[in-house]
Amino acid sequence: MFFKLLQKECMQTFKSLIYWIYVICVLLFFFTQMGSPEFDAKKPVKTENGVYGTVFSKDEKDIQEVLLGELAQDFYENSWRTYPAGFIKYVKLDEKETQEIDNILEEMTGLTEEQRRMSIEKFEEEISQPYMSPDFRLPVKEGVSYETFKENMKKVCVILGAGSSYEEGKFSQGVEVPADYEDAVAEYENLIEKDKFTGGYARLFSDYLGIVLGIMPVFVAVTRCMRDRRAKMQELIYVRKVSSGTVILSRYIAMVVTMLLPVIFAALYTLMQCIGYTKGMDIAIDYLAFVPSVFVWLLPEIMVVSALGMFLTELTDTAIAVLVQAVWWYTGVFMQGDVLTSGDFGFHLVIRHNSVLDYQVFADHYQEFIINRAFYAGVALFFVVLSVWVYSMKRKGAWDFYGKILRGSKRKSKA
Amino acid sequence: MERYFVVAKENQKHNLRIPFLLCSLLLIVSPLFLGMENLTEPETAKVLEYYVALISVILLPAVFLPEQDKDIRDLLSSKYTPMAKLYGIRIIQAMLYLMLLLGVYMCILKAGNCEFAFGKLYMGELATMVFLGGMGVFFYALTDQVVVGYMIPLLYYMLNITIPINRIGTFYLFSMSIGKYEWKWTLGMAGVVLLAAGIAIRSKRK
Repeated sequence: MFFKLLQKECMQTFKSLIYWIYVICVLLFFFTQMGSPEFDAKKPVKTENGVYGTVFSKDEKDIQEVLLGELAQDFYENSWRTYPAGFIKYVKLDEKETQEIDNILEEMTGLTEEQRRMSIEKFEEEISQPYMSPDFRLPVKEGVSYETFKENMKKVCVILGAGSSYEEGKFSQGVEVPADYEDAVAEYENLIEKDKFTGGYARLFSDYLGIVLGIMPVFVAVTRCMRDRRAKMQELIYVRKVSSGTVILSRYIAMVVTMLLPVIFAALYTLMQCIGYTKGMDIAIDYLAFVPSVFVWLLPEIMVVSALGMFLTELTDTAIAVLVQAVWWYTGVFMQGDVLTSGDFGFHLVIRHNSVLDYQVFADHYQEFIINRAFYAGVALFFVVLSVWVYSMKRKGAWDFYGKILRGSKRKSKA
Repeated sequence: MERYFVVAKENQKHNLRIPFLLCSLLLIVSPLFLGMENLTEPETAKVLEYYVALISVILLPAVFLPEQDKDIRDLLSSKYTPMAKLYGIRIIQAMLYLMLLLGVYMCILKAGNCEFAFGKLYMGELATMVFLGGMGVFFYALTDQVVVGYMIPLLYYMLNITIPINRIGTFYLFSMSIGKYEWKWTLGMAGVVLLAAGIAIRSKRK
């Protein structure tokens, strides 16, 4: 019975206009954002300018110098930005707060405001290509301990409010520093030996697809759940023998499976491109690199977005899930600030790792990544169970949001 | 005329309340994560274009919701008042609410010592709202699916964030943030066309 229903649900989804809009949007997003990435499997060569990208450093000296440089620049420009709940928030400091930051900078660097200003202006004059240049750094005054630095950063956070880059939770993850030739070679070796080339591209693929899959499935889920009511089939289905669990589960699994199809297609497309690029090269690629990308990285996202959409639609009989998901997606995407390869996975719905390199950052945070994805898979199952419950209550006539909320004790079974 | 006021009153009572409350709620919670004090003009434009504009996607496509059920649509079509007029009244009402919410929000920004030309930003933001909302109205009318009415404007919004500005040109949603105020003319006019086309399509739908 279940499989017959599942098959029917899949066919229903294939006939849905929204599903095809979903497919077009996912593929359009994939081709415009990732499409044919610039493949590079060549060993780095030494360059004259010594620019080899950036790496993450957890070295205390690097952390202190980069953060103090950033703080001094923010102070110089009098521009303070935080990301308290995902959105950028411009904070304006009053005179007392500005003075407090000035004191902290002077205590940490031993430089007066005038000396720092000159130092920044000199740095800006020297850099010819701002996007390729390293961050402005300020060395710590001799004798100042890392503990004092952390204490002072806490004070800065109190002044700026939540969401600044001076929070210990953020800078303890490491700061971006310019890579040297050895770093570049190590990254290359990681890509070829540990990632087997395709691993890096699989991560980039998931990074891009994750953005669009953070919202698109909700449209399919909401439409599917509202379809019975629109077609006036609700009561007819309610009186069937089949259990609520079977109806909801078959519907849910059909949605998830069908929505996964364009993702699998895009993954195969990128894999083929990788195979084509490495043909004739002495590189042993991992043909299964996209399997965890699709089934561990992206599947839980599709699962949770569709489950929430299904639950809210069953509960309210409205399209409110679209609004809820839009807000969640918006904060999820914008919450991650500028650095997209920091390994700060936390409990973000949309996980970002916008680079084929940085294998080590990803490997260091792999456990966090797995916990994140397992959490969302669990949340998805929780919403599915809730949907089954709401659906069965509606069948019994106990929950009817179609006009009246809660019939309470005057239950009248619809089944 | 009296009949139209009755239509507006009933619409206000049964349909507009919840979308209006949702929009108000979204604006009320915004100070939790958006800076609303001491902003410069481009920063104010950013707040308006990236955040406040989204309330139009909630308010405008909702004008067709009462006739989601075909039987109700058939019943209303048989009445003396043309459907197009009903939709027109509802859209005017939704627009008045948008104008009110935007006005109040911008007054709060002004009170927070933000520096901007009120009239210029108000009209520019209104054009963005008409365009995004009009897009929702148009696609809802075209497909008879409320979800599409929300989906397309949100996708267009995503597109504006992710692809280069020169590919979108004057249809770029966040043009005031980059100082291109004149681009809003295109958006405003396109929005009005989309609204009119949406009403025309929906009125003829059987």
